[in-house]
Amino acid sequence: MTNIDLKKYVYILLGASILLGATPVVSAEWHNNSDVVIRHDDNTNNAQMRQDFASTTSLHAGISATGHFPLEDGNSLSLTGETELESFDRYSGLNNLSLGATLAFRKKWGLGPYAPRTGLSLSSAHLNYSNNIRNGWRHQIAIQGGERFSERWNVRAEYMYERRTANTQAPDQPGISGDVFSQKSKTMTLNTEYAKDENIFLTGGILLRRGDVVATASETANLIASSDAIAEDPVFGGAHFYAYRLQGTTRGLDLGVNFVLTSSSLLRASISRQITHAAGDNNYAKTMQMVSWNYNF
Amino acid sequence: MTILKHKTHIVLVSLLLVWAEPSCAATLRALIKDQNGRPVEDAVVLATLLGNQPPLPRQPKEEMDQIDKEYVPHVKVVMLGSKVYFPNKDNIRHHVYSFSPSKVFELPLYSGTPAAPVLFDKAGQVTLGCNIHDWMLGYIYVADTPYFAKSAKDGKTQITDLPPGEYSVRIWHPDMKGGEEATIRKVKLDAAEGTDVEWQLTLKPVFRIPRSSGSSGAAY
Repeated sequence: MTNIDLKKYVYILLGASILLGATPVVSAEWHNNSDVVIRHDDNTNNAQMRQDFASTTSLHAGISATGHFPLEDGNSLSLTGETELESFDRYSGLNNLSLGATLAFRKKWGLGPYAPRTGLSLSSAHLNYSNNIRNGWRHQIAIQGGERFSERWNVRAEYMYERRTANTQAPDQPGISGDVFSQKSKTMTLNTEYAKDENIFLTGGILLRRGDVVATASETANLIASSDAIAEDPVFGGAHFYAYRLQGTTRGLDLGVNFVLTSSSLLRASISRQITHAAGDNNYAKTMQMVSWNYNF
Repeated sequence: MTILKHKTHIVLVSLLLVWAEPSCAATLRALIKDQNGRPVEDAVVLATLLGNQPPLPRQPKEEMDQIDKEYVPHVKVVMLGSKVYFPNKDNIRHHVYSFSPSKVFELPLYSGTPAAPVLFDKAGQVTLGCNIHDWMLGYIYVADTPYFAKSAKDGKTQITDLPPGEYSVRIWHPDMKGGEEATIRKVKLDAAEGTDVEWQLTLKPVFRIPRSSGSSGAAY
């Protein structure tokens, strides 16, 4: 991480601390969270052609600390600091470490567990990959809404704007940007949770994402013509593999089951399918399976 | 001087009566089971003397604690007219509320013990929640009789020192199907020996908003 990055982090955390310090808060409620995730992705590189598919299994470990500050009238502020480490079995260039912070404001519109909730969150994280061209910042601003309809049913929706700025720009191809990993996108998600009993939750979610997507594949005239940015991508090994930034729309479906192991730990298994329609009919699809263990302390 | 002597006699007679009362008091022993024959904890047994009701005694101050983000005890019985404090023994803030018709109230975000207790002046069930921790659930049952008890884990409880006579006895439990009225029984209690009574309640499947939400492993 450069000095500039570190300064930016210090400013974010300082700003958040001042904001929290200025609120009429008596005491904070602290939640520490850790998780370990094993994920299999059959098309990590978002390729269109089957022969270009790079399937991976990755191990993710994350830890976070959240200070939750209840305010009057059902409002609350929270500040989260988190770090995540991800390691891939085959493509070590994707290995990455991220460090980030999230400031969130939540409002509960009434008393009780069934009162509707809304929220606004700002988050920023630095992503540090083994492959340098992916390094950069990820900034997100999101609004959330949700309601618990019964002891068993809980529904949440979110709209998020995300911007990624890559630290390093690969050399430009003639006439086209090489800044593949600087991206903007807007994502809408709708999640529902059904508690079968006190120890088993079933979850389902749908996603609609519009904006920049990155696909790494062998070079084709159509990809070049449809891309906003192109850069050599050494991560996936092929001599003719390039990363292309395209405009695309992704639709996704996720189904999961969560097992409450103890009052502070959760085991989750899920499967997710995403289909992306990108510019120039460069469409791709992927399926991900995930097993995670979450522990609160 | 005469007045003083007279008062002394009254006090002595009263003391003797109080001393003598247990020997002619009755005991009601209750066993509460569910539809599967398993013992039911936290069932409230309420005995009402038929005929002349004794006046409710002056109520002591009661407490419903909040410990480790739970109400302790889960079910508390207090007598009509009781004042209940809600001490927060966690090092975070809680926001106690009730929507129950027997007592609608709110204690907004606080630490420690609020200065003023809450007066429970209407009989019946009061369901407690916390607006910060949605899984927190507790019950106060406001009894309109001085004769009540709450069952232990083995489903058993007893009410002692009851004046002999005929009672209307009913049961309340937060998870019971149907009203208390369906459990009413007339029981005649003699001073000589205790009386055993058994109830079988039909309980609804228990489901509380979980403390560990699945949202930490949400889909998206």
